[in-house]
Amino acid sequence: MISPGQKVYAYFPGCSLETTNKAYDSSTRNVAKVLGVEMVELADWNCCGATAYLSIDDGRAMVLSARNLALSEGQSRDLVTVCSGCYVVLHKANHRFQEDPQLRDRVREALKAGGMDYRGTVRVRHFLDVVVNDLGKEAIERHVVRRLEGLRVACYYGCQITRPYAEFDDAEFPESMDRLMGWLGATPVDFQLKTKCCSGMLMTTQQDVGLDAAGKLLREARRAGADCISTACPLCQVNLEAYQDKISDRAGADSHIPVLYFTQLLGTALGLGNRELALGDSLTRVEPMLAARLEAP
Amino acid sequence: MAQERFEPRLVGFLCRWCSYTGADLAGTSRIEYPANLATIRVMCTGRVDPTFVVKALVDGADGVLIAGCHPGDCHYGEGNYKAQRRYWLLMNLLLQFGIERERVRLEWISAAEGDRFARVVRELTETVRTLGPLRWKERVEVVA
Amino acid sequence: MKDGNQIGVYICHCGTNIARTVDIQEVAGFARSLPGVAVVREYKYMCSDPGQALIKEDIKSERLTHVVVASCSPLMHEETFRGACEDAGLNRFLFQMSNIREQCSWVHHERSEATEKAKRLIAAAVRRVAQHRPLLRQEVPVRGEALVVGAGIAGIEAALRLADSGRHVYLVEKESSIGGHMARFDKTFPTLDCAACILTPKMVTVGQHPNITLLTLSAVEEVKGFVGNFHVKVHQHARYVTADCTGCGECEKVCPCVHPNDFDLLGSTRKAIYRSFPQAIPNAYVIEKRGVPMCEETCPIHTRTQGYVNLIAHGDFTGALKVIRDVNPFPASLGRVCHHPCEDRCQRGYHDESLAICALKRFVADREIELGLSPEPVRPEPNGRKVAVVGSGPAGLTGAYDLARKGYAITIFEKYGKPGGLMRTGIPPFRLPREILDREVAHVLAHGVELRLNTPLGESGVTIESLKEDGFDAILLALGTTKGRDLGIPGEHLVGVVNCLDYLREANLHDRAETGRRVAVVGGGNAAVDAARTALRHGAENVMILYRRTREEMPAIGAEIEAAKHEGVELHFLVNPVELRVGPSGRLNRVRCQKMRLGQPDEGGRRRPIPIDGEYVEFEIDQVILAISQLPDLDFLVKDKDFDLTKWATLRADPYTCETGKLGVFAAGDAVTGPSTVVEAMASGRQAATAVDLYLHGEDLDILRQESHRPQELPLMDHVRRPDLPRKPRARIPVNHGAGISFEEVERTFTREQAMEEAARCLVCGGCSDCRICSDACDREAIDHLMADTVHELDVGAIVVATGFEPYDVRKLPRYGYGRHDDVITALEFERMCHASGPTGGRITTKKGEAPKTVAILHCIGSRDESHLEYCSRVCCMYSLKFAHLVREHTGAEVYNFYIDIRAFGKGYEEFYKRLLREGVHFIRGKAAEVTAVAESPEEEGKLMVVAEDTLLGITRRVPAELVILSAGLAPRKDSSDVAHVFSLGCAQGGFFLEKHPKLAPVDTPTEGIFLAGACQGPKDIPDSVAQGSAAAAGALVLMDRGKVVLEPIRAVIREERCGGCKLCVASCPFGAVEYDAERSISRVVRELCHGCGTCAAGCPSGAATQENFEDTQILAEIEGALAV
Repeated sequence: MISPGQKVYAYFPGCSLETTNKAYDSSTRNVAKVLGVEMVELADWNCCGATAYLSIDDGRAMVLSARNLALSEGQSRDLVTVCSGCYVVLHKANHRFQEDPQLRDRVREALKAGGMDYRGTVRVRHFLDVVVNDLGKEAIERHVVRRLEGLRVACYYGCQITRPYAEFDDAEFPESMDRLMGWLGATPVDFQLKTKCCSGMLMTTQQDVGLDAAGKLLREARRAGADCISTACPLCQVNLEAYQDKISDRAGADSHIPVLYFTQLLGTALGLGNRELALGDSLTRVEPMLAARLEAP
Repeated sequence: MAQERFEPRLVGFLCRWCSYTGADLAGTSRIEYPANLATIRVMCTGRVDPTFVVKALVDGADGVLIAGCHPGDCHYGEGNYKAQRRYWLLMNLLLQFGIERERVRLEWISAAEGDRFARVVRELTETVRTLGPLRWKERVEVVA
Repeated sequence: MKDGNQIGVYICHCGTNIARTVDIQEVAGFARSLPGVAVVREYKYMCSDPGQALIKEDIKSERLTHVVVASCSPLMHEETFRGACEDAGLNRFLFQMSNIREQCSWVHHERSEATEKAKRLIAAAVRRVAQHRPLLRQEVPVRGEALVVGAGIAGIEAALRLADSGRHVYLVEKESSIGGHMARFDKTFPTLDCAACILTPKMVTVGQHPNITLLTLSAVEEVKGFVGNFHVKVHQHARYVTADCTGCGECEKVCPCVHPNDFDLLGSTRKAIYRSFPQAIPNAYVIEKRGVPMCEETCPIHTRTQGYVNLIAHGDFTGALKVIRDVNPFPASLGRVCHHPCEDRCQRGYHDESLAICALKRFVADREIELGLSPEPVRPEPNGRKVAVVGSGPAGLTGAYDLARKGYAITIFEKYGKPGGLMRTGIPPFRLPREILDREVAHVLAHGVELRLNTPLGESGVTIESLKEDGFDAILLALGTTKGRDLGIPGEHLVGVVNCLDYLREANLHDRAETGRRVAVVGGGNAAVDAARTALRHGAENVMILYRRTREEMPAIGAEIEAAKHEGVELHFLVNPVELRVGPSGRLNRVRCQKMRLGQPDEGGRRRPIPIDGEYVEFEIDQVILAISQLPDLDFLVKDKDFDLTKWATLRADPYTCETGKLGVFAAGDAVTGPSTVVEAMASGRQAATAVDLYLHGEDLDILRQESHRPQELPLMDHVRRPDLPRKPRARIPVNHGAGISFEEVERTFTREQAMEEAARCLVCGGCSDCRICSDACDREAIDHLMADTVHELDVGAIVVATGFEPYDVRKLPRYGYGRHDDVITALEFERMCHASGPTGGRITTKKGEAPKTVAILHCIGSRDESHLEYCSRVCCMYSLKFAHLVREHTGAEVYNFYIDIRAFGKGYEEFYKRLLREGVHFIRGKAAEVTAVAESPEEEGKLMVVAEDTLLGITRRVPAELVILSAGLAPRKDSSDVAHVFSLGCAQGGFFLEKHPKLAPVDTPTEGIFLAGACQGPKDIPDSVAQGSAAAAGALVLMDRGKVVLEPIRAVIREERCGGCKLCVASCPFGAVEYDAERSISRVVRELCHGCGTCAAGCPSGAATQENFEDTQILAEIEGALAV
């Protein structure tokens, strides 16, 4: 039951949130509940289109994305995702769809085969955008029950959330997550690599390159005096948390540091418990860090 | 079976300061666009009497473009605003005649927007092509 | 189609430009088939002499009636061919051009399609021209004056050229000095001669040139008219310094207001009165006034708050007090009891907390007392007029103060035994010590004011008549409120019920007030709180305040309420006394109150209390002090029918002129306005004094009726928006807790240090604090703080627009860390750094003050970047080379230039580049990717690293640099679109003004008579700007020397016989060129005013209005033709 005036969005989890990044999914849903934001999971959603197809035949890849957009069209709700990958691909589909008539016809042709159509009216949003810009300072602060006083956070945005589409923040030097952390009582550190590459897929194909790229981020966050890194992308999260031992050995320098989704920090401040935020899933020492830094709820 | 592609006949009323110059710029920059539009130069879109548009449609045009300076840039201050008001009045009339709104297009194209002019002509040609011939005589004069 | 037409059609190949894609032969054949066409010819170049000769020949031999040329755009050659026709004796308007190049052969590749379209265009032209009629062109004279907008190097050059040729030039500049960007440069490339040395002489000449009228701080607001006859409106912002200024700089020394120096940059500062640079022209200083700050705006007596606050910050306490006393005889008293609205909207408050303005006022006043100084009264020559002031409260005393300072002989008549009105009878000593009040009243009297005590208005004292008889020329009534309002409830007249005003008066005047043990004060205003606190001091064991609303709505000053609570006063809210009851002893012992709740806000905005049925509460008391409201005592006055009362039982007086019903009798203060605060009463007294002064000078009082402008928030100071403004710990106003509940004053004053620190928190959002000590410092008396803006109306024949550029904002490229890393600076900042008179005196240094050992210069910042400026800014390469040379020369540091390509296109530029190579500057081909402080190896620790891909070596380089210079591109000025609108210019590249033709008319604009010069038309270096300046001047001179212009006869005409007089055309004309002739009920066009847009023609329902050479018949024919094929 959705009360009038309540904010309602169509929620697009995406594949990784059902597999490697369940914690991101549960923390997001629970945070939304507390903030009184209705996230209606998009029925029958499919792959966002971030597949190798993009490089082979973007037309077909676009159809994949466009199907999701078509599904949420006409609900007059923004389509919200927390995965920067899904975010940027759905965005791209939307833009290409508007800019390129040929492609548009092709995609609509394909959708028609499935008895669907897309007119290009859906707005794609990242959950960070929703939290910071739709809800905003007052709404968030009103819900904070456990201020993250004294917690030093390195806000890491990754590449896709503001590039190529700087929809809600600066492309090179975004600050919305830093602001959010401020509202929660935490101290965002001056993390200069906030949009540098986490190595993306290279971690699986060219691991040495990947380890170096991720390593830079981890060590810079430590140097900046951060207690933890806050991420907004499933892939960044994995690349940063899963290889810390390897990275440390390779660099001959301790590169360990807790890494969490921004939704998990937000949830903590909103008073959600470790289970609701699935902090247990973390591969880094998140819980001990939070326990040490914050007084018990 | 390959059928003869429909080539719409289009007339464009261009303001001498912005849009006509923009069209010339498209030329000097060699930006290609379909040859369906014949342009007519007026000093200001404010001079475009709705009857001109109707005349064009009656005489066999399938679509019409009216192009002037961007709002605020009119060489005469507000001619383009006048044009816009008359445009909406005209559209009310044409819609009652069952003429598709897409056939008559009002655009702001500056002297620096050669590419934009070309794009507009491309789009208008495409749209009207998909709409097919206007056939004023059959469609309107029968109705009227 | 008229008969007997002999139309000649001429088709141009334009080399192969047209012939390549248009089948000329086929088109020619088609043309021959067109009705009325007699001759068709095609030729390689129609515009050439032989080409034109063809036309002329045929006109004569074939007796052509009309001519059509199908070639390039009419914007290109229409005039050429019209000329040809004219030469051959054919009216130039019997010609039509068909654009088959720009709009045909160049844009269509498919030959058949292009050919078809060419046919349609030619058919259209032929049908149209057949309808053409011969027209005559009108000649109008050209004015001899020129306007040059923008006084950078391009504008200066243009102005000088015009002026030297004997033309009068108006040179308009937005800044306070001419010189533009060049004035900020140190050296110029490639010759490395110093910018100042070559620019200053020109600037001086401009300043002294008899033919140049220089208008600085000015902007063109409106341009009307047409070529040769422009009418221009220029708004000149006040400089506040007159031409008498010698530039000695004494004013700058004393000015207390410090602001960021936007000319010198690099964190340097300047004063509110300043001069951008020593060689400025005009050399006069200028004062930056941003407007009236809120503190002054909201002050009822408009104290120049920032003036005294900033003087305090700089330790000039006496000066501060002087500023206050200009408008306020009671600094020490108001410093204690003012409700200080000035602090409510202080800009500092947006950042952390408002200034403690009131306490600062008190500090300077108290300090004077402490030092035993006494203020000097201002006593001008008596002007021989006598004014009687009745009442010695704040209103009366302020009125007397103002009038005495104007030379009037003042006598004040006071009802009671001591002067001061409610300041004495109402406000208790623990808030306003008596010696303070006495002292400040004495200061008013020291102005030669006579005071008669115990002299009320009435039989026992003076009457209006008696005063007139005693020879008073005017009377100011400031009677105040002396009566308390009753509650109108049972028991109100019992013993033990006393009115607040009477109670306080007894206590304050005679220090004896009957006070009970348990006291209830009814009301929520300052009087109520004062009474409560007084009762405590007079022995009450228990004091309560009963108020029918809540704490929110209490009118009393917050601090006072807190103090009362602190002293033990009980506050009971939402209770309203309904009955006072006696106990068994027969004496008052209970107050019964109705419980209330809050309803909707009343017109005053306060929520109205509503009784809760059947809910009551009682309090044990033995005294009730009523402090509901206060009324003036006017019983005597209203016996005279000339005076009457308002519905609030106050004295009726004109709200603007303070006049009462009786001539020469004015009224002010609470008696007129109802209960108010001290400062509000003072304001009222001042208003009346002004009126009296005007009245006695026989002036018209209606000027007082002009609505005072509505207060406006000033734009926030940058540093308010910036978070890095240090939040100084506020000095708290000391409280004398030791005093406890005694008659000793409770609040104490700031210490010297506290005061100066607090005052220093002022942001001077007014720009200039208006303290006016600069006026004292200026022995030429060249400073005029009241100077007003002026609007100049100029008539000129030609206009040169040379408004220049602005450097691209490098903050839009965070990757280079500008604003985050101290030693990343912009090119302009570096120019100033090198400059001998710049902030570092020409020393190239890091923020820490060390000479850099390695310097990186990053080219193309913002330029050649699709997400920023797509174009090449043209000058950055060369000035970057110049920088490299200067760095080597001054510091010998290693210099790394990161470039995409070196564009050394100008004379001597390539040679300069070679020279730099020889000077050992490192050139890395690759645009810098980022500037980072993130070390990737131990040796990078603590250094700025410039990262770039060296495209020659094919590797990524990380170069450490101690100073990084960002060579920002040139961008259009932010206001370019507004400027474009004023001069009806076109814009390209996001705001650079559009020239008429990129190659052949680079300084002309589509609007005849308006020319472009310098970087406003596109990025340019100094030589090119100068060249354009001269070219534009030449263009203007051509016009003026010709002396007359020919107006195209494309004006509107109204055929009277068809005009129905509906006036649609009158309304549709943007130039007011259509008049309505009421007599003959038709409209008529004023040719001189008509610009020929044709809007009226399109709107005319009867077809009476039409446009020459764009007649309906002509355009309709053109449409037919275009569709006939």
